[in-house]
Amino acid sequence: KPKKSSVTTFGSDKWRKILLNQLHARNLRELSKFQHYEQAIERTTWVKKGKM
Amino acid sequence: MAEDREILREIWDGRVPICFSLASDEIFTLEHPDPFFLLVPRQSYFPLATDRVQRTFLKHVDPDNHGEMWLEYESQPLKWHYPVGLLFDMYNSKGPLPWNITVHFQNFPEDELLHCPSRDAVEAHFMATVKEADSLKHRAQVINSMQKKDHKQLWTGLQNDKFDQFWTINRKLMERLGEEGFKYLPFRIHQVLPEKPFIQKLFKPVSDEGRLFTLADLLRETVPHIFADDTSDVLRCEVYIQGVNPPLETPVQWLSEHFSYPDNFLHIALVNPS
Repeated sequence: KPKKSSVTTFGSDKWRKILLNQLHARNLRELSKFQHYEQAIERTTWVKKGKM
Repeated sequence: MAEDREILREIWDGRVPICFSLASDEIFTLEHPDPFFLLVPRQSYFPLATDRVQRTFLKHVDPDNHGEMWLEYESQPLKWHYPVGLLFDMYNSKGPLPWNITVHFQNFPEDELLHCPSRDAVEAHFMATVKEADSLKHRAQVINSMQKKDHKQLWTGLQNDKFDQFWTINRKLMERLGEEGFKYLPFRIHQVLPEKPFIQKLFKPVSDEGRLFTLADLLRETVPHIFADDTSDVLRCEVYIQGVNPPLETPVQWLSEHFSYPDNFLHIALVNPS
């Protein structure tokens, strides 16, 4: 059965920092000017409340 | 395993701004419908995100002459069974925003698109792809050890854009075999202009000696023609994964764990420089 890996090296790697910066830039480019658009999939959870 | 939550969250939160317009030659009513502007999750599929587009535009087409809705970008029909982010990277990674997509209800391109009769078809395709990925990674041991409710949670997490609901299950699918890594890497390479069938081969993410193979190793093995020569890492095209150009020294085991789409495949788009 697969085991968990104990190797955690991501914090120190240069490529990881580059990727994180690129993801920030991607989300800035694709989202910042379009925040007023409707979300295609609403994340809101609707909770019904009622009294007996 | 996928333990870098900051990266996972950035990827999950990716949205593509899209302007949907009904094909002008299919408008049947005197009044022309306004375009529909939406932020669509990169990780999702179009049929999970376009219910309102379909309902709105259906009111403006010939009620006696329409079929299943399909989408097109610059004469290219868009495959609903590819994640939205992948389609964007393939066809509009350098294009203007919002992404302008044309909506059709006639002349379904039978040779290029699969039919999508309902959300159940999307779920069936999604689960089949997750199972294929796990058979490559863990000989299907993980997916087969899960209960049906876990499969359902994976699907509903994606369907409803719920990060924690999805990743509670998906993290099990991202566990390594021992210390080494996955048995084989679930990846697909998509070539655009000219478009060709995707490339998928057996590739071990870690060598027998324990060396982590990089993205450069994977590309040299599967698409050597994209390198300018045998010695340097200069590429003839751009490599997109999840909307970014990963450094070629990135280990593919880590990329698979963090940059795979929810279907558990690492989808790599090769785009010609403009």
